[in-house]
Amino acid sequence: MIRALAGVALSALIVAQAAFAQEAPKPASAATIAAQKAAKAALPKEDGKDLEFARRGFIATSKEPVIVSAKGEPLWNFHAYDFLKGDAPATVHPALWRHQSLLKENGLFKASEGVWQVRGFDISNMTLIAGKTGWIIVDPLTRTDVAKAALGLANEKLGARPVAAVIYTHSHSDHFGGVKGIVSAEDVKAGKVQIIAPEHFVEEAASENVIAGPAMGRRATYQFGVGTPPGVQGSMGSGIGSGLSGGEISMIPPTLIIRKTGETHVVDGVTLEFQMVPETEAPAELNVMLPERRTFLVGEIAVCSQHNVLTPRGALVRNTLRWAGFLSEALRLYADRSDTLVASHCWPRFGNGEVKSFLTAQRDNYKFLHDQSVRLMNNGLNATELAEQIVPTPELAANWSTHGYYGTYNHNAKAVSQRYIGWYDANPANLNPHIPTERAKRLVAALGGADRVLALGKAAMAQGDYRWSSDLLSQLVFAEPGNTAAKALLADSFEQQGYQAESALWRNMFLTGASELRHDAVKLNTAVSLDLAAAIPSGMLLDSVATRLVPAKVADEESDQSGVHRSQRKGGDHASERCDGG
Amino acid sequence: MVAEMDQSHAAPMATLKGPRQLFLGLMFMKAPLAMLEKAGLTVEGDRAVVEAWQAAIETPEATFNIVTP
Ligand SMILES: [Zn+2]
Repeated sequence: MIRALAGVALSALIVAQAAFAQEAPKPASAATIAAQKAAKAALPKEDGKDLEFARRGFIATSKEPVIVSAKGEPLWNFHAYDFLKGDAPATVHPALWRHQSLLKENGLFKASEGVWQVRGFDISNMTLIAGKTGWIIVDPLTRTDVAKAALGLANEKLGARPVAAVIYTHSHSDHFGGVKGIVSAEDVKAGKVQIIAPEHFVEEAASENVIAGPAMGRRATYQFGVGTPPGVQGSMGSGIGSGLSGGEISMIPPTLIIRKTGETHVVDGVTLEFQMVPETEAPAELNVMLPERRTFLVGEIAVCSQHNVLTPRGALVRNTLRWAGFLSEALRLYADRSDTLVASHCWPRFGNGEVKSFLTAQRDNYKFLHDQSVRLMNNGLNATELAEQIVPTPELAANWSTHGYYGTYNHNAKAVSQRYIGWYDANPANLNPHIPTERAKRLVAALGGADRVLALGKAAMAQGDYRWSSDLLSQLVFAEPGNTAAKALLADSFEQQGYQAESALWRNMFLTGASELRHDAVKLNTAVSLDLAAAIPSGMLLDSVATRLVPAKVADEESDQSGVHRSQRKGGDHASERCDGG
Repeated sequence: MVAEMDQSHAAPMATLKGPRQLFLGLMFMKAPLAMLEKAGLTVEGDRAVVEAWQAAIETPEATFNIVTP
């Protein structure tokens, strides 16, 4: 569930990381060591099932240690997490250590009769279904080169087959961007390959990054830890995969649109039964039941982690209630008929009982999150307060797959509140406070000045109260951006919060914050995917450019102050535009 | 700025015509108008209005500050 434009921007940065001089990170503090010990004591029981499932059906993996582009740029490193051996060090939450140890498994795996997956070649999985004449590929990864490598491995080990059809489960680029690495637009046009996608796929895929694209792209560098290389004091993946691949994002528009749950198509001799799950993890999303193979394929609404109700890099808030509802529907419609569950992230679940218990736990978790957040909201708790009180039930806490390696109870509960009642907590004291820099200056002065705040920050850190030290020191940095001691100490405070986080995203965000306080931010390459840019509706491009107009720069030569622009498309396609300004 | 698809303005001050990528160049890449015209964009009416409009479009700062003001 990454964004396409941001994704393109990130590709160049993966290469840039190697040259990024990292100031030596600090070791885990005594408070962090104690927190990890407590976290370890509270872990679910280890039954070894996840590791067995993550490795079951292994056939082979890439002979090359790194996937490189035609120009020789590294795009994907299979060995980035080889350091994950033995017990978790004190700088990594023990559940996250275990989780990334599972996600780092890579290669071609048999999932069920006639169904394989290539995992660990990107953040997402490629699923391959053997049809009568060729492959039906579900989700061709994010980038063309890694997709090509994944299909190449399957063809080499299972016998070469042409691609008969591609299914995009949803409108996030890690589920379609690699398509041109496995099929050509010409073959699709000639009818040799069918492209199947949920209703509104193209609009959603193209539009998700447009209006808020620049903000999301920058925030995504925090979420995915761009500039924070993997390591025991660095990134621990993304919670649903090891990281983002590099290279080109492509898109070929679908030739078959799926609109209804229960819609069934026989493609290359294989029966595909679809479940529509829109406005959940993505605005346009579907799941696929393969009845002959007793295999249920969930795109991304049930994975090995709690997902994001509101992804931290920014998005519209997702509908948790609907999400849980679709999982109930999946249980009702498909669970009895499934012996294997595969998803577009993480490892499969094998056995009918496992499929049912997994879907049930996932459903229960989203329903719990929704219902309890709303209950507390209706009792008058604001987002921060209610997030503090969402503690999973013992049953949910005992389930590895509902833990927050990606989304967390904390930020998801806040998101549920945001969806229903928005940013304002109804306390007029918070209706119109000073902006952060002005508030910070006043707070620092009220607390007795910069030296005093620095001392308070140090004292909070000595107590292990990093939430407070980060808060205090951030005020000081905002009041005095040139205060290097404050920046250094805030970086140390963020770092300990990152070490203690169970969520890979929280870890990435804290460690990126620390890194940017110690060094300059990694520069973003704002290149866009040409295929996606071509798919953006013209009206949306004009709406987007309207958000970039600077009022002070708009000359008053326009008599019509609204600055009306009326556009026409010629011949019903996007090849030619006309724009009248008045 | 208000955009309406498939509508013509009653009395436009300027009208632009051309392939889609030239509009992308004009609005998002902020390519010089003269260059876009050479590539096939046509401007009818007041050219200065188009240039003023383009000049008022900003390119967001891709690496804006987060942990510092
Ligand atoms: Zn995804």
